[in-house]
Amino acid sequence: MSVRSYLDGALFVEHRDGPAPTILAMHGWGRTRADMLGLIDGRAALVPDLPGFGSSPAPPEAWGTPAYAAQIADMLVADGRAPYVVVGHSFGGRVAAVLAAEHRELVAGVVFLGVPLLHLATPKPPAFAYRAARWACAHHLLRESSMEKLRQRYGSADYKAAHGVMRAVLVRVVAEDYTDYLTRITVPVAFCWGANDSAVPVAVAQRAATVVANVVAFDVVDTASHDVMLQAPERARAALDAVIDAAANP
Amino acid sequence: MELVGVVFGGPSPEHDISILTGLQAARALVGAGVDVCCLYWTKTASWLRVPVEAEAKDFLDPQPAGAVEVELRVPGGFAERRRMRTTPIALDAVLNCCHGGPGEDGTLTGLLELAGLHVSGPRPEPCALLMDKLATTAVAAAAGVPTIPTTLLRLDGDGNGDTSDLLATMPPTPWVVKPRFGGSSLGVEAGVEDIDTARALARRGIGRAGMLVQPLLDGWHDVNIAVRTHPNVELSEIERPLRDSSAIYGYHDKYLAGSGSAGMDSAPRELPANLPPKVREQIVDHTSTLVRALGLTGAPRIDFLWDGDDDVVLCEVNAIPGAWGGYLWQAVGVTPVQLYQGLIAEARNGPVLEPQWAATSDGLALRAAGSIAAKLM
Repeated sequence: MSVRSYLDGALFVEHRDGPAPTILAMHGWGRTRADMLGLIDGRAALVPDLPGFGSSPAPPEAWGTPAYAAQIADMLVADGRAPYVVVGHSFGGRVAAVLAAEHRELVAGVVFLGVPLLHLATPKPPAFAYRAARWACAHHLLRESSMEKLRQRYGSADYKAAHGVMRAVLVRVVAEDYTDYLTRITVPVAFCWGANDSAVPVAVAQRAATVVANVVAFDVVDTASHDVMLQAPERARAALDAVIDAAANP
Repeated sequence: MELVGVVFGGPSPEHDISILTGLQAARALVGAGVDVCCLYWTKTASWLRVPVEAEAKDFLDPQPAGAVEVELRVPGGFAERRRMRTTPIALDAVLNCCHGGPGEDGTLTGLLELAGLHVSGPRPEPCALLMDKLATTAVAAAAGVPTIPTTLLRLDGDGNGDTSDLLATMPPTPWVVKPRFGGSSLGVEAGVEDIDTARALARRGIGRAGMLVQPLLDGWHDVNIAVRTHPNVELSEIERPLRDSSAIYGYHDKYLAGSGSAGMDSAPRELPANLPPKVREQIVDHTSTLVRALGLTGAPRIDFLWDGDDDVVLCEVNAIPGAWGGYLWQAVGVTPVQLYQGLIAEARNGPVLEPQWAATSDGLALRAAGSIAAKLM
């Protein structure tokens, strides 16, 4: 076990040696690398705190997922153990999708765990009162403190908990859809989902699996919800094993 | 009938855990027939009076149902605001359940004391001392308590600074690198093996005030004990918390592990800790020494590390530990209500402090000063 900084302190990463392939495991929004350590199981691994979470500093501006993926790609190049089998939970899975599509030389396979990969329906616009208040605040007709109260009333739990640039990051990434990225992923892919995931319903995984070319495992865990890798780590590890096997035996 | 203010929350990384501690204390005191006023210090440092029946999930909303705005007057204490009227809340004592940040570092205690309130827990000066792990280590070492070899890593305002001379004083890797100020293992990294990573940690947020570099004591065990000081010094049972696979006993282990509701009460532990008599004796002796050396009052928890053989070293002292270490006290027959009532009695019966200006600020220096302009020459 070792903690290292990469890219001049932009990322703090749990670095583990072990048999290849090296696993890259990325956590969800508002969480840290600690969530993902149970999946590693003696393998070579990189488990970062994504920018803005845990020990890693927030990005300098409101990054979207492609900017996150680009920074992770830089870290992987610096680490030099490509190709990696990438596991992503929730927000980390968004980054994994972009990484696998845009930086194909770095990725040998992908495991998605409860990832909001696409929108099943058009997202509802915010309440009219909130939109009106946002307009008024932008035109200096409403105090920032009053606007903040409305944000706290209307925002999601993640939005309420986020601060500074991370709020803008959140707003940006929740609007993203990864259908195009998914169609460009050619490496083996596994889905492992909690049947009771209310944040990202199983229907999202089912739809995403129809878009991805090379699905090697699709597992729905009856007893799990959104944090499937914590609630059923053996099933998440099985999905990872399936991808590792498929990557080794194309 | 006396009215006790239970204060919790606060602009701290341990805000949520503090809510749990406060609600538990309030509920237990009400059950014992004490008249309680729950005062919630929000993340943005405003004050709300909330119903005693409030549940933890109510605080997911920044304005819990039934909350009333409260202001803190210095001097004067708390007062409730309803429409155009402000009504003072006559508190006999305050049970401070705020963990971390200004709630635990003496800021809040000092503020409440200036407001004229009797506050539980250590006084502001020891609170500030305990929040500084470097200072705590130095005082403990001077008192003869074994401590972990510690090097301060602090960079300049731009995140630069030559650390080559520090390398000679640093312990062998791997290191634990932890913020000088703060609690609950937040910002602590275990297993750092290179100076570049340690420097990077010292450049970010909480690390800018300084990071402490210590050897990673791999294989050592956490062993914790609590102490209360009213009416006499009394020690709790000793526990050995059980970590997950991580190298340090962190925030997740303390507050989120275990079955049932989150909070320290349900975290996995060995209680009483299975320790050799000689080790147990050392822990008791060191704790008694620290009470005197650090000027502890209230019910702090003292965390040691034990090598599994004969050696014990101080890890840190928590002025206001999670759940007030209630599980440690129950193991020696002290109920939560007895613990809270002891804290309240200590606060209420504490010595009334003379105003600090009384002895010397009698106007003599002002009368003799002449003009300020003349002093600028």
